[in-house]
Amino acid sequence: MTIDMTRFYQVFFDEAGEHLAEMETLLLELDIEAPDPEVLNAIFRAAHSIKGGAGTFGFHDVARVTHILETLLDRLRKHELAPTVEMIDATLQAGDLLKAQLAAHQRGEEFEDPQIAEVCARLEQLSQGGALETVPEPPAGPADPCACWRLVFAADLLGASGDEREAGLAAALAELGELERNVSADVPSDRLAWRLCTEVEREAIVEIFDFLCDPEEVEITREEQTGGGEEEDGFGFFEGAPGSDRGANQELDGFGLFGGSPGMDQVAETAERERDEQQQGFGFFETAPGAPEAAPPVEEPATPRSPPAAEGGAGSRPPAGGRRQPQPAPGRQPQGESSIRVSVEKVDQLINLVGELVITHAMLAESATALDPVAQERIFDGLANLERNSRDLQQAVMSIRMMPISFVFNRFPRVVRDTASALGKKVTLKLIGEDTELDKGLIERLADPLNHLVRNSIDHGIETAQQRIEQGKPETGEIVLAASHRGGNVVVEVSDDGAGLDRERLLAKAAERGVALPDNPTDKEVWQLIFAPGFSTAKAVTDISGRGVGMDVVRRNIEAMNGRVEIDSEPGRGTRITIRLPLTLAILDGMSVRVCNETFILPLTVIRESIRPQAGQCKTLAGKGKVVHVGEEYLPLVALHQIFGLSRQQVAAEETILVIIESNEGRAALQVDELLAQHQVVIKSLETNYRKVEGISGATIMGDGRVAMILDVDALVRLSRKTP
Amino acid sequence: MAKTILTVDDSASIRQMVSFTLKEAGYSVTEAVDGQDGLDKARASRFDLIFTDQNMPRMDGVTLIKQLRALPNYRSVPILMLTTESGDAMKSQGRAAGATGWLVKPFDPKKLLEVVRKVIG
Repeated sequence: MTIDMTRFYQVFFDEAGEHLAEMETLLLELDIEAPDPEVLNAIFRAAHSIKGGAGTFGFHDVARVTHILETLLDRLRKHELAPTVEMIDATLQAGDLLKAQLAAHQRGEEFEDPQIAEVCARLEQLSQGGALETVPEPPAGPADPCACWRLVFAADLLGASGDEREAGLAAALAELGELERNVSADVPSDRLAWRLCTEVEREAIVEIFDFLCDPEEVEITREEQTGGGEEEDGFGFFEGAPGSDRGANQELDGFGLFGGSPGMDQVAETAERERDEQQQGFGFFETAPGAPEAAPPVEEPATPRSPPAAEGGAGSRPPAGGRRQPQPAPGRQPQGESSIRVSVEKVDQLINLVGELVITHAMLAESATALDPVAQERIFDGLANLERNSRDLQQAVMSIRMMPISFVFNRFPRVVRDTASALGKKVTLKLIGEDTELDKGLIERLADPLNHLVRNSIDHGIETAQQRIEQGKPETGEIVLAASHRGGNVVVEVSDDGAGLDRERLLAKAAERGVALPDNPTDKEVWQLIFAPGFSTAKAVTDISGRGVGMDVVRRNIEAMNGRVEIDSEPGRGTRITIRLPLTLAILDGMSVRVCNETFILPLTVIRESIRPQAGQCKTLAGKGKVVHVGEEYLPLVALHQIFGLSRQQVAAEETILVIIESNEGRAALQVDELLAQHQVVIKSLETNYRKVEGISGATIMGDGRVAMILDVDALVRLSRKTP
Repeated sequence: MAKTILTVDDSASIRQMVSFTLKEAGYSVTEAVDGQDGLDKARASRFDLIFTDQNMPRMDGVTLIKQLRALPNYRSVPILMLTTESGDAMKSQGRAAGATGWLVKPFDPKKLLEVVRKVIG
């Protein structure tokens, strides 16, 4: 039977990823002065598990790195070495390499980098440091560079033209490594025994044979190079009670049985039964556990030494009494896990279908408006039920995609540690609200912007320890990453207790760069300058936060998620950057508005109020284009029909409606003809189905089957500035 | 009736590989995620063969073997350790705890079946 090992790869990749993430978290938490033995054990176990899986599934480069890493971790957990910062650093680096290796395997490639050798050498050196004795561990399984294989097969296996094919086989094998033909005399004369020393895997040898004959007929066994002893290729049996089968240690290819140990009776019985079966042609094997066993040899405490001790051990577990769990029928066992892994595509497909269902409902409801609600009461009842059910279904499906934000937050202890140490600053990180859930798609897209903001805060925000002490601040700076749900939005904040933004410097820079600014700009308007392209106020460009190319990208990324960024800053006290995101990318609460004959959707979250302007409220100001005087402010007027080039008859401003919106570019008034209704709409990407259109963030299908565009208010405000 | 095997390993991928291989070969397989889980499952049922990993959270393999050997049902059931360490220290620990034998990781499905057939047929 052949088992396709690739079917287990994905589980292994997921599992290894989890182990690496856990290892990293634990490493960062580890108190070097007083390491918790449990934590050291857990770190070791993570590496150990990855190694075991990697070896089993044939990712030998991963197995090699984890093996070296494990050696160091093993010595740490056994307290043979005391942990040092260098060890933690090297282990973290090894973790990064392993991630890269695994990612490469996932793509079906192999990750090659000189860093691997470097880090391995460092780990090896560290694990020898302070060593009381250095015991080189044998390399893991077939991961070692050169192994010798013993190939035994029937001389006539290759068929009639044997000699010729044998020569061909020998030539092919010789290409793999060093081949020795007819190595031993201890095989029957009708069999050939060859030896091949090679770096390739067993499978490669099997493949060669596969060309010429049935590889099953060939015994391919790995020879132990260390020699001596009967143990071949990592398995064996323990020798216990002398005499019988059940007493002798049996060392076989890759496993072993302890002679005289409990369970050996069964093994012997099995062997006997097999012999019987061969003679009689049939047999029945009954495992009869509990049959009293021959007393084991004194020095072999196969059963626990003293029952009371064992009882004591059992008693230390949670109350033993009624803890028996009903066992499901054998053969259909659950895995003991209450969750399943499902590919994201399947969930997305569900969400898509629910979206279609919502649209279908809207269409039905639209058609039903023509009916008489009294005469067709049942139809209306059914529609109401359909609406409720599809809304529930939609929420349930959306919740599948929800993940706690800790998936992104968890990488930041590492980011902060690395960034701070690269800059020689002292910074701690505080995480708040890691359990806050949001859509998986958003989580993934949030990682880069947050990364940039955090690094930026450490680089430009937090002062050096020296500067902080001079200002009477605590020596160690603090970055806070906080997430929470606020009214249908997820709010993520990155704040620091650093120097704050420098208004004068930003203004000077803006003047130098010719960035347009309103007269007497508010602080908020000034802070927004850091998001302008090519705007960097760092006196020195560093590797950490780059050349100011980042912040505008940060804002663009967040806007692409229908999110908004705000900055609050106070000189000397610090800066807080607030990101507001919708809960999901798939569904939007919107207001439909009419402009000429077109229907547009405005996200509800941006709407402040709507007003019917009075005569004289709209003015044209020099340098600012059209503005509306609302309360104390003059807001830019965004005329949608102009931006989208819709033809309309001249309508007096008083006839239109102004929707006051809050955008990243500040507040503005959108001029529309009519407010239609409030809906939940299913967002369809315009980019994937058509192309990107400025001022439009997506499209949706309305109840009457028409397509409506979803407005991108930030872009609209920008556009209206360009076309006054 | 199919022979029943308990495989105890904290690594889901190895567990699935072992479980899948043995099920394909007609055995009835139960999985446990660590030593404690293995002990609970072993108590609740009876198995003809048990495979256990060594390094696991909550309870390691050697402890599991010791605990199992203290149970009347498992005094003489074959228990094999899956281990990455082919070192003698591990083996003698396993042997002292009452293991029937060991199988070195990494192993392939073929090797696994070879061992199982040898032990319980």
